[in-house]
Amino acid sequence: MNNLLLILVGSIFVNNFVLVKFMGICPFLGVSRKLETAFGMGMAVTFVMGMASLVIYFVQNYVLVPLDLVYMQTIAFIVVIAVLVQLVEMVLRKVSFSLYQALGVYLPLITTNCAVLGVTILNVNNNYNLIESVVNGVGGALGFTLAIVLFAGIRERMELMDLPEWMDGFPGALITAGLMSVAFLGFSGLIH
Amino acid sequence: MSVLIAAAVLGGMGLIFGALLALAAKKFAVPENPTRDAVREQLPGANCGGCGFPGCDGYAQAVADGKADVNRCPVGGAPVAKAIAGIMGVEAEEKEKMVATVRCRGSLDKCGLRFHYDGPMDCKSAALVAEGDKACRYACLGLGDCEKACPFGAITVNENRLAVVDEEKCQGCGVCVAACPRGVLDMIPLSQPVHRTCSAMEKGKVVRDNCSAGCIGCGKCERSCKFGALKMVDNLPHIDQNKCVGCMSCADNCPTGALKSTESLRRHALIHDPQCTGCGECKEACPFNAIAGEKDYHHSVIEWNCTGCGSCEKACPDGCIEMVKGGKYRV
Repeated sequence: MNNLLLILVGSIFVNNFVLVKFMGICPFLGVSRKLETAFGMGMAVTFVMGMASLVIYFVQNYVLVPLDLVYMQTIAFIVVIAVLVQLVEMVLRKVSFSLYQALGVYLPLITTNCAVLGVTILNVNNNYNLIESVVNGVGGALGFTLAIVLFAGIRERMELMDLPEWMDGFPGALITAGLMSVAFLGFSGLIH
Repeated sequence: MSVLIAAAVLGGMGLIFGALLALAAKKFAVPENPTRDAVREQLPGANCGGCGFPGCDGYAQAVADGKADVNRCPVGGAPVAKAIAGIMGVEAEEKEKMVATVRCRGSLDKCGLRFHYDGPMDCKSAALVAEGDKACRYACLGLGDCEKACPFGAITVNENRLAVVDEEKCQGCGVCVAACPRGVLDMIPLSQPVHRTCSAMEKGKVVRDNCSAGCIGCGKCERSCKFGALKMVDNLPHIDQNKCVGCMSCADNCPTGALKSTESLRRHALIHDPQCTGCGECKEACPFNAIAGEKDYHHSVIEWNCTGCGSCEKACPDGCIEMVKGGKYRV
Protein backbone atom coordinates (compact mmCIF):
# COMPACT_ATOMS: atom_id res chain seq x y z
CA MET A 1 0.00 0.00 0.00
CA ASN A 2 2.80 2.34 0.99
CA ASN A 3 4.58 1.41 -2.20
CA LEU A 4 1.52 2.28 -4.33
CA LEU A 5 1.21 5.68 -2.65
CA LEU A 6 4.86 6.37 -3.35
CA ILE A 7 4.40 5.48 -7.02
CA LEU A 8 1.32 7.69 -7.26
CA VAL A 9 2.90 10.76 -5.64
CA GLY A 10 6.11 10.10 -7.55
CA SER A 11 4.42 10.00 -10.94
CA ILE A 12 2.20 13.03 -10.28
CA PHE A 13 4.69 15.42 -8.72
CA VAL A 14 8.28 14.21 -8.55
CA ASN A 15 8.57 12.68 -12.01
CA ASN A 16 5.87 14.78 -13.64
CA PHE A 17 5.84 13.70 -17.25
CA VAL A 18 5.55 17.14 -18.77
CA LEU A 19 7.48 19.37 -16.43
CA VAL A 20 10.26 17.06 -15.25
CA LYS A 21 10.61 14.40 -17.92
CA PHE A 22 9.60 16.68 -20.82
CA MET A 23 7.27 14.14 -22.42
CA GLY A 24 3.99 15.04 -24.12
CA ILE A 25 4.95 18.66 -24.76
CA CYS A 26 2.96 18.77 -28.00
CA PRO A 27 -0.57 18.70 -26.52
CA PHE A 28 0.75 20.57 -23.48
CA LEU A 29 1.35 23.60 -25.71
CA GLY A 30 -1.31 22.82 -28.29
CA VAL A 31 -4.50 22.55 -26.25
CA SER A 32 -3.64 24.71 -23.25
CA ARG A 33 -5.31 27.83 -24.62
CA LYS A 34 -8.53 27.23 -22.72
CA LEU A 35 -9.03 25.68 -19.31
CA GLU A 36 -11.97 23.60 -20.47
CA THR A 37 -10.25 21.90 -23.40
CA ALA A 38 -7.11 21.43 -21.33
CA PHE A 39 -9.10 19.53 -18.74
CA GLY A 40 -10.82 17.48 -21.44
CA MET A 41 -7.46 16.61 -22.93
CA GLY A 42 -6.18 15.66 -19.51
CA MET A 43 -9.12 13.31 -18.97
CA ALA A 44 -8.68 11.73 -22.41
CA VAL A 45 -4.99 11.16 -21.73
CA THR A 46 -5.81 9.76 -18.29
CA PHE A 47 -8.13 7.20 -19.82
CA VAL A 48 -5.65 6.24 -22.52
CA MET A 49 -2.67 5.99 -20.16
CA GLY A 50 -4.56 4.02 -17.54
CA MET A 51 -6.01 1.58 -20.03
CA ALA A 52 -2.71 1.34 -21.92
CA SER A 53 -0.88 0.43 -18.71
CA LEU A 54 -3.47 -2.26 -18.02
CA VAL A 55 -3.59 -3.79 -21.50
CA ILE A 56 0.13 -3.54 -22.12
CA TYR A 57 0.87 -5.37 -18.87
CA PHE A 58 -0.96 -8.38 -20.32
CA VAL A 59 0.55 -7.96 -23.78
CA GLN A 60 4.05 -7.77 -22.33
CA ASN A 61 3.80 -10.62 -19.83
CA TYR A 62 1.52 -13.06 -21.62
CA VAL A 63 2.39 -12.44 -25.28
CA LEU A 64 5.76 -10.81 -25.81
CA VAL A 65 7.84 -12.41 -23.05
CA PRO A 66 6.70 -16.05 -23.51
CA LEU A 67 7.17 -15.80 -27.27
CA ASP A 68 10.59 -14.10 -26.98
CA LEU A 69 9.32 -11.07 -28.85
CA VAL A 70 10.40 -8.34 -26.44
CA TYR A 71 12.25 -6.64 -29.30
CA MET A 72 8.81 -5.94 -30.84
CA GLN A 73 7.85 -3.95 -27.72
CA THR A 74 7.61 -0.52 -29.37
CA ILE A 75 5.41 -1.60 -32.29
CA ALA A 76 3.13 -3.73 -30.14
CA PHE A 77 2.69 -0.94 -27.58
CA ILE A 78 1.95 1.64 -30.26
CA VAL A 79 -0.73 -0.65 -31.73
CA VAL A 80 -2.42 -0.95 -28.33
CA ILE A 81 -2.25 2.80 -27.74
CA ALA A 82 -3.63 3.55 -31.21
CA VAL A 83 -6.61 1.28 -30.59
CA LEU A 84 -7.34 2.97 -27.26
CA VAL A 85 -7.10 6.42 -28.81
CA GLN A 86 -9.52 5.41 -31.54
CA LEU A 87 -11.89 4.20 -28.85
CA VAL A 88 -11.63 7.49 -26.95
CA GLU A 89 -12.28 9.39 -30.16
CA MET A 90 -15.45 7.42 -30.88
CA VAL A 91 -16.76 7.81 -27.38
CA LEU A 92 -16.00 11.53 -27.23
CA ARG A 93 -17.66 12.14 -30.58
CA LYS A 94 -20.76 10.48 -29.23
CA VAL A 95 -20.73 12.00 -25.76
CA SER A 96 -19.41 15.54 -26.25
CA PHE A 97 -19.17 16.73 -29.83
CA SER A 98 -18.02 20.21 -28.80
CA LEU A 99 -15.08 18.84 -26.84
CA TYR A 100 -14.30 16.55 -29.79
CA GLN A 101 -14.16 19.61 -32.03
CA ALA A 102 -12.16 21.67 -29.57
CA LEU A 103 -9.50 18.99 -29.17
CA GLY A 104 -9.33 18.65 -32.94
CA VAL A 105 -6.17 17.09 -34.29
CA TYR A 106 -4.64 16.74 -30.81
CA LEU A 107 -7.02 13.91 -30.00
CA PRO A 108 -5.66 11.41 -32.56
CA LEU A 109 -2.23 12.81 -31.75
CA ILE A 110 -2.44 11.18 -28.30
CA THR A 111 -1.31 8.12 -30.23
CA THR A 112 2.08 9.69 -30.71
CA ASN A 113 2.11 11.37 -27.31
CA CYS A 114 5.42 10.08 -25.98
CA ALA A 115 4.13 10.31 -22.41
CA VAL A 116 1.80 7.38 -23.14
CA LEU A 117 4.47 5.20 -24.70
CA GLY A 118 6.89 6.43 -22.04
CA VAL A 119 4.74 5.33 -19.11
CA THR A 120 4.25 1.82 -20.53
CA ILE A 121 7.96 1.32 -21.19
CA LEU A 122 8.78 2.67 -17.71
CA ASN A 123 6.32 0.14 -16.23
CA VAL A 124 8.14 -2.67 -18.01
CA ASN A 125 11.62 -1.42 -17.14
CA ASN A 126 10.73 -0.99 -13.45
CA ASN A 127 9.19 -4.49 -13.32
CA TYR A 128 5.93 -3.15 -11.90
CA ASN A 129 3.15 -5.67 -11.29
CA LEU A 130 -0.37 -5.15 -12.65
CA ILE A 131 -1.66 -2.79 -9.95
CA GLU A 132 1.56 -0.83 -9.77
CA SER A 133 1.50 -0.39 -13.58
CA VAL A 134 -2.03 0.98 -13.57
CA VAL A 135 -1.32 3.28 -10.62
CA ASN A 136 1.79 4.57 -12.35
CA GLY A 137 -0.14 5.09 -15.58
CA VAL A 138 -3.05 6.92 -13.97
CA GLY A 139 -0.69 8.89 -11.73
CA GLY A 140 1.41 9.98 -14.67
CA ALA A 141 -1.69 11.04 -16.56
CA LEU A 142 -3.00 12.95 -13.54
CA GLY A 143 0.37 14.68 -13.40
CA PHE A 144 -0.06 15.56 -17.07
CA THR A 145 -3.58 16.86 -16.36
CA LEU A 146 -2.32 18.89 -13.41
CA ALA A 147 0.43 20.47 -15.48
CA ILE A 148 -1.76 21.27 -18.50
CA VAL A 149 -4.63 22.65 -16.40
CA LEU A 150 -2.30 24.87 -14.36
CA PHE A 151 -0.64 26.00 -17.57
CA ALA A 152 -3.97 26.72 -19.27
CA GLY A 153 -5.08 28.79 -16.26
CA ILE A 154 -1.92 30.88 -16.49
CA ARG A 155 -2.23 31.24 -20.27
CA GLU A 156 -5.84 32.38 -20.01
CA ARG A 157 -4.70 35.20 -17.77
CA MET A 158 -1.72 35.98 -19.97
CA GLU A 159 -4.12 36.54 -22.89
CA LEU A 160 -5.41 39.62 -21.06
CA MET A 161 -1.99 40.95 -20.15
CA ASP A 162 -0.30 43.76 -22.01
CA LEU A 163 2.85 41.88 -23.01
CA PRO A 164 5.53 43.32 -25.28
CA GLU A 165 5.08 42.06 -28.82
CA TRP A 166 8.06 39.69 -28.74
CA MET A 167 6.63 38.00 -25.64
CA ASP A 168 3.06 37.69 -26.86
CA GLY A 169 1.79 34.20 -27.63
CA PHE A 170 4.19 31.26 -27.76
CA PRO A 171 7.38 32.92 -26.47
CA GLY A 172 5.59 33.91 -23.28
CA ALA A 173 3.97 30.48 -23.03
CA LEU A 174 7.30 28.70 -23.39
CA ILE A 175 8.94 30.87 -20.74
CA THR A 176 5.97 30.17 -18.45
CA ALA A 177 6.39 26.44 -19.06
CA GLY A 178 10.08 26.75 -18.20
CA LEU A 179 9.31 28.53 -14.93
CA MET A 180 6.70 25.90 -14.05
CA SER A 181 9.31 23.23 -14.71
CA VAL A 182 11.72 24.98 -12.33
CA ALA A 183 8.95 25.13 -9.72
CA PHE A 184 8.25 21.40 -10.05
CA LEU A 185 11.92 20.64 -9.48
CA GLY A 186 11.14 21.62 -5.89
CA PHE A 187 9.42 18.23 -5.48
CA SER A 188 12.56 16.34 -6.43
CA GLY A 189 13.71 15.70 -2.86
CA LEU A 190 10.34 14.24 -1.84
CA ILE A 191 11.06 10.62 -2.75
CA HIS A 192 14.35 8.81 -3.09
CA MET B 1 10.99 -18.71 -38.28
CA SER B 2 10.98 -16.22 -35.42
CA VAL B 3 10.23 -13.49 -37.92
CA LEU B 4 7.11 -15.38 -38.97
CA ILE B 5 6.03 -15.80 -35.36
CA ALA B 6 6.50 -12.10 -34.75
CA ALA B 7 4.48 -11.21 -37.83
CA ALA B 8 1.74 -13.66 -36.89
CA VAL B 9 1.52 -12.36 -33.32
CA LEU B 10 1.34 -8.74 -34.40
CA GLY B 11 -1.11 -9.62 -37.15
CA GLY B 12 -3.25 -11.48 -34.64
CA MET B 13 -3.20 -8.56 -32.25
CA GLY B 14 -4.18 -6.28 -35.12
CA LEU B 15 -7.09 -8.52 -36.04
CA ILE B 16 -8.41 -8.77 -32.49
CA PHE B 17 -8.12 -5.04 -31.90
CA GLY B 18 -9.66 -4.34 -35.29
CA ALA B 19 -12.66 -6.48 -34.45
CA LEU B 20 -13.00 -4.72 -31.08
CA LEU B 21 -12.89 -1.32 -32.77
CA ALA B 22 -15.48 -2.38 -35.32
CA LEU B 23 -17.80 -3.40 -32.48
CA ALA B 24 -17.18 -0.13 -30.66
CA ALA B 25 -17.82 1.86 -33.83
CA LYS B 26 -21.24 0.21 -34.10
CA LYS B 27 -22.05 0.90 -30.48
CA PHE B 28 -20.91 4.54 -30.51
CA ALA B 29 -22.09 5.43 -34.00
CA VAL B 30 -23.19 9.05 -34.30
CA PRO B 31 -26.09 9.55 -36.67
CA GLU B 32 -24.89 11.84 -39.45
CA ASN B 33 -27.23 14.23 -41.17
CA PRO B 34 -26.55 14.06 -44.93
CA THR B 35 -28.48 17.29 -45.54
CA ARG B 36 -26.25 19.16 -43.14
CA ASP B 37 -23.11 17.91 -44.85
CA ALA B 38 -24.49 18.85 -48.26
CA VAL B 39 -25.34 22.36 -47.03
CA ARG B 40 -21.96 22.70 -45.33
CA GLU B 41 -20.31 21.74 -48.62
CA GLN B 42 -21.87 24.79 -50.31
CA LEU B 43 -20.81 27.29 -47.65
CA PRO B 44 -17.55 29.18 -48.11
CA GLY B 45 -16.07 28.08 -44.79
CA ALA B 46 -14.95 31.53 -43.71
CA ASN B 47 -16.59 31.08 -40.28
CA CYS B 48 -17.17 34.82 -40.08
CA GLY B 49 -20.44 34.60 -38.15
CA GLY B 50 -22.18 37.01 -40.52
CA CYS B 51 -25.18 34.69 -40.69
CA GLY B 52 -25.68 34.97 -36.95
CA PHE B 53 -24.64 31.39 -36.21
CA PRO B 54 -21.37 30.13 -34.76
CA GLY B 55 -19.44 29.40 -37.91
CA CYS B 56 -20.41 27.64 -41.12
CA ASP B 57 -20.99 24.33 -39.32
CA GLY B 58 -23.50 25.93 -36.98
CA TYR B 59 -25.34 27.58 -39.84
CA ALA B 60 -25.41 24.35 -41.89
CA GLN B 61 -26.90 22.56 -38.88
CA ALA B 62 -29.53 25.26 -38.42
CA VAL B 63 -30.48 25.16 -42.11
CA ALA B 64 -30.70 21.39 -42.11
CA ASP B 65 -32.94 21.55 -39.05
CA GLY B 66 -35.15 24.04 -40.85
CA LYS B 67 -34.45 26.72 -38.25
CA ALA B 68 -32.75 29.21 -40.56
CA ASP B 69 -33.39 30.78 -43.95
CA VAL B 70 -31.21 29.66 -46.82
CA ASN B 71 -30.06 33.17 -47.74
CA ARG B 72 -28.26 34.14 -44.55
CA CYS B 73 -24.70 33.71 -45.82
CA PRO B 74 -23.47 37.20 -46.75
CA VAL B 75 -20.18 35.91 -48.12
CA GLY B 76 -21.56 33.40 -50.59
CA GLY B 77 -24.41 35.71 -51.59
CA ALA B 78 -26.97 34.75 -54.18
CA PRO B 79 -25.18 31.73 -55.76
CA VAL B 80 -24.73 29.98 -52.42
CA ALA B 81 -28.29 30.80 -51.35
CA LYS B 82 -29.51 29.27 -54.59
CA ALA B 83 -27.42 26.13 -54.13
CA ILE B 84 -28.64 25.67 -50.56
CA ALA B 85 -32.22 26.34 -51.64
CA GLY B 86 -31.77 23.56 -54.20
CA ILE B 87 -30.67 21.14 -51.48
CA MET B 88 -33.46 22.12 -49.11
CA GLY B 89 -36.07 22.26 -51.87
CA VAL B 90 -37.21 25.83 -51.20
CA GLU B 91 -37.12 29.10 -53.10
CA ALA B 92 -34.25 31.45 -52.29
CA GLU B 93 -35.16 35.06 -51.79
CA GLU B 94 -32.61 37.48 -53.18
CA LYS B 95 -30.84 39.24 -50.39
CA GLU B 96 -29.25 42.52 -51.22
CA LYS B 97 -25.49 42.62 -51.00
CA MET B 98 -24.42 44.69 -48.04
CA VAL B 99 -21.15 46.47 -47.58
CA ALA B 100 -19.56 48.06 -44.51
CA THR B 101 -19.07 51.81 -44.48
CA VAL B 102 -17.22 54.11 -42.11
CA ARG B 103 -19.47 56.94 -41.00
CA CYS B 104 -16.56 59.24 -40.24
CA ARG B 105 -14.00 61.16 -42.27
CA GLY B 106 -12.11 62.53 -39.28
CA SER B 107 -8.56 61.58 -40.13
CA LEU B 108 -5.92 63.23 -37.96
CA ASP B 109 -5.36 66.12 -40.38
CA LYS B 110 -9.07 67.02 -40.18
CA CYS B 111 -9.92 66.01 -36.63
CA GLY B 112 -7.10 66.58 -34.14
CA LEU B 113 -6.36 65.06 -30.75
CA ARG B 114 -7.58 66.44 -27.45
CA PHE B 115 -4.90 64.76 -25.35
CA HIS B 116 -2.12 62.22 -25.59
CA TYR B 117 -3.64 58.78 -25.02
CA ASP B 118 -1.16 56.34 -23.53
CA GLY B 119 -3.20 53.23 -22.74
CA PRO B 120 -3.69 49.87 -24.48
CA MET B 121 -3.74 50.54 -28.20
CA ASP B 122 -7.23 49.33 -29.09
CA CYS B 123 -10.44 51.26 -29.70
CA LYS B 124 -12.40 49.64 -26.86
CA SER B 125 -9.92 50.79 -24.24
CA ALA B 126 -9.37 54.20 -25.82
CA ALA B 127 -13.12 54.84 -26.01
CA LEU B 128 -13.33 54.45 -22.23
CA VAL B 129 -10.86 57.26 -21.52
CA ALA B 130 -12.77 60.57 -21.66
CA GLU B 131 -14.64 59.37 -24.76
CA GLY B 132 -11.47 58.90 -26.78
CA ASP B 133 -8.58 61.13 -27.69
CA LYS B 134 -9.93 62.37 -31.04
CA ALA B 135 -11.30 65.91 -30.88
CA CYS B 136 -14.76 64.70 -31.90
CA ARG B 137 -16.36 62.30 -29.47
CA TYR B 138 -18.18 60.52 -32.29
CA ALA B 139 -15.08 60.03 -34.43
CA CYS B 140 -13.44 56.82 -35.58
CA LEU B 141 -10.64 56.19 -33.07
CA GLY B 142 -8.59 54.42 -35.69
CA LEU B 143 -6.84 51.93 -33.42
CA GLY B 144 -7.87 48.98 -35.52
CA ASP B 145 -10.48 46.94 -33.61
CA CYS B 146 -12.38 46.53 -36.89
CA GLU B 147 -9.20 45.71 -38.80
CA LYS B 148 -8.47 42.91 -36.35
CA ALA B 149 -12.06 41.67 -36.37
CA CYS B 150 -12.50 41.55 -40.16
CA PRO B 151 -12.08 37.95 -41.32
CA PHE B 152 -11.46 39.03 -44.91
CA GLY B 153 -8.81 41.72 -44.48
CA ALA B 154 -11.20 44.25 -45.98
CA ILE B 155 -10.66 47.03 -43.42
CA THR B 156 -7.42 48.88 -42.90
CA VAL B 157 -6.66 51.79 -40.65
CA ASN B 158 -4.65 54.40 -42.52
CA GLU B 159 -1.74 56.38 -41.13
CA ASN B 160 -4.14 59.18 -40.14
CA ARG B 161 -6.06 56.88 -37.80
CA LEU B 162 -9.15 56.42 -39.93
CA ALA B 163 -10.63 53.06 -40.89
CA VAL B 164 -11.03 52.50 -44.62
CA VAL B 165 -13.20 49.75 -46.10
CA ASP B 166 -12.11 47.97 -49.25
CA GLU B 167 -15.50 47.42 -50.89
CA GLU B 168 -14.08 44.82 -53.25
CA LYS B 169 -12.96 42.63 -50.37
CA CYS B 170 -15.89 43.33 -48.02
CA GLN B 171 -18.27 40.39 -47.87
CA GLY B 172 -20.91 42.15 -45.77
CA CYS B 173 -20.72 39.89 -42.74
CA GLY B 174 -21.05 42.77 -40.26
CA VAL B 175 -18.43 41.51 -37.80
CA CYS B 176 -16.74 44.93 -37.85
CA VAL B 177 -19.96 46.73 -36.90
CA ALA B 178 -20.14 44.65 -33.74
CA ALA B 179 -16.43 45.20 -33.01
CA CYS B 180 -16.57 49.01 -33.20
CA PRO B 181 -17.16 50.56 -29.76
CA ARG B 182 -18.10 53.93 -31.32
CA GLY B 183 -20.84 52.74 -33.66
CA VAL B 184 -19.04 54.47 -36.49
CA LEU B 185 -19.27 51.47 -38.79
CA ASP B 186 -22.53 50.61 -40.48
CA MET B 187 -23.81 48.19 -43.09
CA ILE B 188 -25.42 49.71 -46.17
CA PRO B 189 -26.77 48.06 -49.31
CA LEU B 190 -24.27 48.17 -52.15
CA SER B 191 -26.94 49.80 -54.31
CA GLN B 192 -27.46 52.76 -51.98
CA PRO B 193 -26.79 55.93 -54.03
CA VAL B 194 -25.91 58.33 -51.20
CA HIS B 195 -24.65 57.65 -47.71
CA ARG B 196 -23.68 59.76 -44.74
CA THR B 197 -20.02 59.81 -43.72
CA CYS B 198 -20.29 61.53 -40.37
CA SER B 199 -21.67 60.45 -36.99
CA ALA B 200 -21.41 63.70 -35.02
CA MET B 201 -24.77 64.56 -33.47
CA GLU B 202 -23.69 67.93 -32.08
CA LYS B 203 -24.70 71.34 -33.40
CA GLY B 204 -22.80 72.76 -36.37
CA LYS B 205 -20.50 75.10 -34.46
CA VAL B 206 -19.25 72.37 -32.14
CA VAL B 207 -18.69 69.93 -35.00
CA ARG B 208 -16.87 72.61 -37.01
CA ASP B 209 -14.54 73.37 -34.13
CA ASN B 210 -13.67 69.70 -33.73
CA CYS B 211 -13.40 68.53 -37.29
CA SER B 212 -13.19 70.14 -40.70
CA ALA B 213 -14.86 67.17 -42.41
CA GLY B 214 -17.90 66.78 -40.19
CA CYS B 215 -21.58 67.30 -40.95
CA ILE B 216 -22.56 70.73 -39.63
CA GLY B 217 -26.24 69.93 -39.71
CA CYS B 218 -27.14 72.86 -42.00
CA GLY B 219 -30.07 70.98 -43.51
CA LYS B 220 -29.29 71.99 -47.07
CA CYS B 221 -29.62 68.37 -48.11
CA GLU B 222 -33.10 68.13 -46.59
CA ARG B 223 -34.22 71.24 -48.49
CA SER B 224 -32.68 70.07 -51.75
CA CYS B 225 -34.36 66.67 -51.64
CA LYS B 226 -37.41 66.92 -53.87
CA PHE B 227 -38.68 63.48 -52.95
CA GLY B 228 -38.96 63.83 -49.18
CA ALA B 229 -36.50 61.01 -48.69
CA LEU B 230 -34.07 62.88 -46.47
CA LYS B 231 -34.80 64.09 -42.93
CA MET B 232 -32.50 65.69 -40.42
CA VAL B 233 -32.47 63.75 -37.13
CA ASP B 234 -30.12 64.78 -34.32
CA ASN B 235 -28.28 67.17 -36.65
CA LEU B 236 -27.54 64.35 -39.06
CA PRO B 237 -29.18 63.49 -42.39
CA HIS B 238 -31.12 60.23 -42.48
CA ILE B 239 -32.10 58.82 -45.85
CA ASP B 240 -35.24 56.77 -46.36
CA GLN B 241 -34.10 54.21 -48.88
CA ASN B 242 -37.67 53.47 -49.99
CA LYS B 243 -38.22 57.07 -51.06
CA CYS B 244 -34.73 57.84 -52.38
CA VAL B 245 -34.61 57.79 -56.18
CA GLY B 246 -30.86 58.30 -56.48
CA CYS B 247 -30.78 61.86 -57.88
CA MET B 248 -27.91 62.66 -55.52
CA SER B 249 -28.97 66.32 -55.21
CA CYS B 250 -28.36 66.10 -51.47
CA ALA B 251 -24.76 65.03 -51.91
CA ASP B 252 -24.20 67.59 -54.67
CA ASN B 253 -25.53 70.37 -52.44
CA CYS B 254 -23.67 69.31 -49.29
CA PRO B 255 -21.20 72.09 -48.37
CA THR B 256 -18.95 69.81 -46.29
CA GLY B 257 -18.98 66.65 -48.33
CA ALA B 258 -20.33 64.67 -45.39
CA LEU B 259 -22.91 63.11 -47.71
CA LYS B 260 -21.10 60.93 -50.19
CA SER B 261 -22.57 59.79 -53.49
CA THR B 262 -21.64 56.50 -55.11
CA GLU B 263 -20.51 57.79 -58.49
CA SER B 264 -20.91 54.46 -60.27
CA LEU B 265 -24.67 54.70 -59.66
CA ARG B 266 -25.09 58.18 -61.20
CA ARG B 267 -27.52 58.31 -64.15
CA HIS B 268 -29.05 60.75 -66.56
CA ALA B 269 -32.09 60.62 -68.83
CA LEU B 270 -31.95 60.07 -72.58
CA ILE B 271 -34.95 60.63 -74.89
CA HIS B 272 -35.06 58.39 -77.94
CA ASP B 273 -36.16 60.82 -80.66
CA PRO B 274 -38.13 58.65 -83.12
CA GLN B 275 -40.56 57.45 -80.45
CA CYS B 276 -41.08 60.84 -78.79
CA THR B 277 -44.51 62.26 -79.62
CA GLY B 278 -43.95 65.51 -77.78
CA CYS B 279 -46.75 64.90 -75.31
CA GLY B 280 -44.99 66.98 -72.66
CA GLU B 281 -45.63 64.53 -69.76
CA CYS B 282 -41.92 64.28 -69.02
CA LYS B 283 -41.45 68.05 -68.98
CA GLU B 284 -44.21 68.37 -66.43
CA ALA B 285 -42.90 65.53 -64.31
CA CYS B 286 -39.29 66.71 -64.15
CA PRO B 287 -38.63 68.40 -60.77
CA PHE B 288 -35.35 69.91 -62.00
CA ASN B 289 -36.48 71.72 -65.18
CA ALA B 290 -34.18 69.47 -67.14
CA ILE B 291 -36.43 68.83 -70.13
CA ALA B 292 -37.04 71.30 -72.94
CA GLY B 293 -39.34 71.12 -75.94
CA GLU B 294 -42.47 72.52 -77.52
CA LYS B 295 -45.75 70.69 -77.33
CA ASP B 296 -46.07 68.09 -80.13
CA TYR B 297 -42.40 68.37 -81.01
CA HIS B 298 -39.52 66.19 -79.92
CA HIS B 299 -38.37 66.95 -76.41
CA SER B 300 -34.76 66.82 -75.27
CA VAL B 301 -32.89 66.65 -71.98
CA ILE B 302 -30.94 69.62 -70.66
CA GLU B 303 -28.10 67.51 -69.44
CA TRP B 304 -26.56 69.92 -66.94
CA ASN B 305 -29.87 70.12 -65.14
CA CYS B 306 -30.66 66.41 -65.24
CA THR B 307 -29.93 64.61 -61.97
CA GLY B 308 -31.04 61.17 -63.10
CA CYS B 309 -33.97 60.96 -60.69
CA GLY B 310 -36.01 58.96 -63.21
CA SER B 311 -39.29 60.87 -62.76
CA CYS B 312 -39.56 61.41 -66.52
CA GLU B 313 -38.97 57.75 -67.26
CA LYS B 314 -41.97 56.89 -65.10
CA ALA B 315 -44.09 59.66 -66.63
CA CYS B 316 -43.43 58.89 -70.30
CA PRO B 317 -46.43 57.04 -71.79
CA ASP B 318 -44.51 55.77 -74.82
CA GLY B 319 -41.48 54.33 -73.03
CA CYS B 320 -39.02 56.39 -75.03
CA ILE B 321 -36.96 57.63 -72.08
CA GLU B 322 -34.03 55.56 -70.94
CA MET B 323 -31.88 56.13 -67.87
CA VAL B 324 -28.23 55.97 -68.91
CA LYS B 325 -25.25 55.43 -66.64
CA GLY B 326 -23.12 58.41 -65.72
CA GLY B 327 -23.90 62.10 -65.18
CA LYS B 328 -22.74 64.14 -68.13
CA TYR B 329 -22.18 67.55 -66.59
CA ARG B 330 -22.18 66.65 -62.92
CA VAL B 331 -19.24 65.12 -61.17
